[in-house]
Amino acid sequence: MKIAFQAEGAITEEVRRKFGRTFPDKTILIKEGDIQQQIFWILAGEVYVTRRVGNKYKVLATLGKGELIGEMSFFDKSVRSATVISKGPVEALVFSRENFQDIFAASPQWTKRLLTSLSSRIQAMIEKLNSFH
Amino acid sequence: MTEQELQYGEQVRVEPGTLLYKPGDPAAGKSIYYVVAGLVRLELSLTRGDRIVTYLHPDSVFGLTESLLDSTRLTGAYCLENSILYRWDREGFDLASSVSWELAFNTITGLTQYLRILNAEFGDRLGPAGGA
Repeated sequence: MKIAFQAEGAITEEVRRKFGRTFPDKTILIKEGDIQQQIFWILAGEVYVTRRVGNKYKVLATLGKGELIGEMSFFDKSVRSATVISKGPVEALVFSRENFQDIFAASPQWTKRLLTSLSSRIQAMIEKLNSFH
Repeated sequence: MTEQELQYGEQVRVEPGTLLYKPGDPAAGKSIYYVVAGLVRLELSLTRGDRIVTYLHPDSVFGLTESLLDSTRLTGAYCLENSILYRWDREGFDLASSVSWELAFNTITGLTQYLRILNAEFGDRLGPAGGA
């Protein structure tokens, strides 16, 4: 999901120290089929969002700085539906459910963007469901 | 819910069978709800006649999608039991959710779960042949 965080100035050094991580090239951040309740907020670099089709991985999207990854499983405790792999070195904030309060404090505005994005996806899915006749 | 969140909206008591809104209603006004106590049925009627029904328990937030998107109501909401609801207008909800991470968390979780239900219903309609 593309949700750009514009309030990155609000990320303090303390938040970076506590939740910041650096991933080398080709690191698997999220693995399809896993139960992992972490959310990744990309500060630098890019990742591939992929899904396994047979023995190969198909790239669904490339996401970069300011984007949030893994929000669905993070919130509703579902199984990961895609594999996310770093494309070159990636710096990200990594939060667990227990740290939601810290994400919120780092950038309260992101909540609104996430709510709007989810609402748009719900509306789009309802339209798709209504397209069946 | 804390006093901090409650100050931006109002509490309402509703009886079983109360229709809160129906598909096509304007979403203007005080239209974002939080279930304090009771049970609410959310019903999505599809064009070919079938319905997707979900039940909302305490701590659920509903009515937000249309308000955020400035659309008419996509679903119908009915109270199934004597219920106590909290109701915000858009501005009140924005204020409440900007000061309360718990409300933000519950709301995002609710939307995520609803989206997953719709995704699953869509996959179900596609069938095994259409799901690739």
